[in-house]
Amino acid sequence: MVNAFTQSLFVFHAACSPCNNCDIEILDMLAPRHDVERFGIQLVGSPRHADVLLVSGAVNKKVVHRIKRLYEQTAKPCFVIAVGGCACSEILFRDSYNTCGPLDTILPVDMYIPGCPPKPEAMIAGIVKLMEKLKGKKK
Amino acid sequence: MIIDDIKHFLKAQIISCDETKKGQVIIMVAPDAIATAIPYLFKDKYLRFMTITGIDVRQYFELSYHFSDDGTGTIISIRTRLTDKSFPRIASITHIIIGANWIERELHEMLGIVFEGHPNLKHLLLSEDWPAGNFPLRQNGQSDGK
Amino acid sequence: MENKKNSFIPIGPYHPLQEEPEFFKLFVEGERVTGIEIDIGYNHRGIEKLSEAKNFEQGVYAVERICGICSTSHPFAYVNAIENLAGIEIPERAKYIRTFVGELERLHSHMLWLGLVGHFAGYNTLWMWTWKHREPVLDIFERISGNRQHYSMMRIGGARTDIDSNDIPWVLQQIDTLQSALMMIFETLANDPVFAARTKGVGILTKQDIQDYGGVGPLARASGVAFDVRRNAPYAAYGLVDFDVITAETGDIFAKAVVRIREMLESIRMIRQCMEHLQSTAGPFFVNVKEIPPGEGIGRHEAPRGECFHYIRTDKTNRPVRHKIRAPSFMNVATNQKAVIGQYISDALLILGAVDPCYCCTERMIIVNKESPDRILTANDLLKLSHEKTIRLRKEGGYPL
Repeated sequence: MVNAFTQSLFVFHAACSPCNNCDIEILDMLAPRHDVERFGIQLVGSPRHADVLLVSGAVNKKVVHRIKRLYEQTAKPCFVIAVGGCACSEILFRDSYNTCGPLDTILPVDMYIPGCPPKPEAMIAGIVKLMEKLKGKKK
Repeated sequence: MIIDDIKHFLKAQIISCDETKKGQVIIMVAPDAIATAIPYLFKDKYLRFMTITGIDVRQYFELSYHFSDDGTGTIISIRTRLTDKSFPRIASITHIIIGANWIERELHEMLGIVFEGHPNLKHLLLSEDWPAGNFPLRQNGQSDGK
Repeated sequence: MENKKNSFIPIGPYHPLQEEPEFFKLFVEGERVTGIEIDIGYNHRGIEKLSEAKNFEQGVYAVERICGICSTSHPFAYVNAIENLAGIEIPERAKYIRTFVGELERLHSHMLWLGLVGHFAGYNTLWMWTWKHREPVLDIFERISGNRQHYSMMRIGGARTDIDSNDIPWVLQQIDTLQSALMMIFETLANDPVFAARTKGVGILTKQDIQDYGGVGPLARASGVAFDVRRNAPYAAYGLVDFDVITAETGDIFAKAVVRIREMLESIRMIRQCMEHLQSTAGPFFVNVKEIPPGEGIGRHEAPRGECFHYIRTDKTNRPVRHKIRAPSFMNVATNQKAVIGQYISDALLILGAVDPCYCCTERMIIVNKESPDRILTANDLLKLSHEKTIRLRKEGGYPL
């Protein structure tokens, strides 16, 4: 079971009111320079296929129900990674009237990748660490 | 030149006209004059509609309709004050300028200004279940909504 | 009317600028789009209100977080507004640094757009190529500012950091490589009959539509509205460098692509002039600003997507009383209500993308919970439809696949 997570991860990218910077960097991971498909990491179009949810942005009140529903739709076990400062801690948006708290108050977060925005290298390092940890769990 | 035309057209409806600022002319009018001033600027003078700014200045609401004179780079702001703070209302300009649809909806939810004659005055940015009567950009409102 | 809307296609919901993550609902009849409903607000974080609680120094960094792609446009307009308010004159070196950063950003934003259009039209090679050549632009940002995105190069009264003259030859070298790569891509695109067939005559916006909706930027210039803040109300060094305002007449997707592509070449021209000036002259790159007087100011910047408008009113404190932001996409996205009606579904994605609403989000999930329609297409199906059309056109024209 866990073995499936150590080879090729299917990643679903869910953006919750981001500034799009993390999202561009996530797409940048797919572009030729970083090309994460080498490691078998692939973005998928439906949460039902996803092993990992990459969530970016400060969750606002219009999105919060949708992100919860999205998580419900994923096949479990599914790992949630909070990408960027907004998802990890909301940075300056914590005082806003329209945000609902950092991501870990809404979904069970397995991993945090901080940065504004984190570089693609940091994201790859994060995902690889997740894979290694899962391998360790198997032993 | 355009400013003179506007002054000539609106005549006594102008309360004041401030041309001292660099790149901006502010024309203060009464709320009723909006319905005549906006079509003149947009349809006769072909000025580009930019946006509407709404400010809560405690004693009154202030609306500025910004138009850009693209030839000279000047911004012409038609400004008006809504003194009735309990029920601020003004005529909608959406039937004249389609592009004003969204900004009027935004001002409606942020400041609680009612645009009379707007075809679809519902929430634009905030969620549908946003508590009624909580207007984030009002100075005295409970702004965080939490 | 209701029974005619027998199917709808949801696209969305998210998209990046401050207030404009969108949820498009396309109503279709057969293969034709008959209506569109745009639902925004998925991205609203209340920056206007937050900015009222930040002092002017912090505000520059706060508005930067509005959008990641135009992350120098909002600070640019913000500092323009404050300098307009306080009557601050910035040193010449700062003007050139600002122009350089602004144009570099236009370059990276337009390349991003071109890649995504390629992706939407079924040209994944174009996507990969442009994104590959976009990386050097981000490298330049990293070298001069320390970050690939959110470069924070603006400050009130000048630039945050100086451009090191040792970096300039390297920057020019990167720009040269970029230009030759761009020329190669453009020539391929211009000579591709299928790309022309997909984009010519599709999603037309007339001059009148632009005026009605208040459209700005490359979108308006593609329809023959020759407005550019850089030319009509010059700021920073835009009055000092030489460049052309690019316009086209037809208003279709092809025209929008042509305008953006030619703007990239203009940006490269401006970057060279800025580099030359920064190399040859020295001087201070900021002035100290102590106090912001009470008053109001308007700042505008020609962002990659069009005119970005900031309005600031102050009292005697060190924070704004009101800060109004109008991002260009706020006006541009509304034009979809016009452009997409009567078009084929397979073209809809291209038309919505042609506005350049930072539309990398289309691949994402849609959530349907309204009435049960006859047919639901996900964004992926939509992409597939678009790709199939390209393949069909290629076959019909006898071009290699």
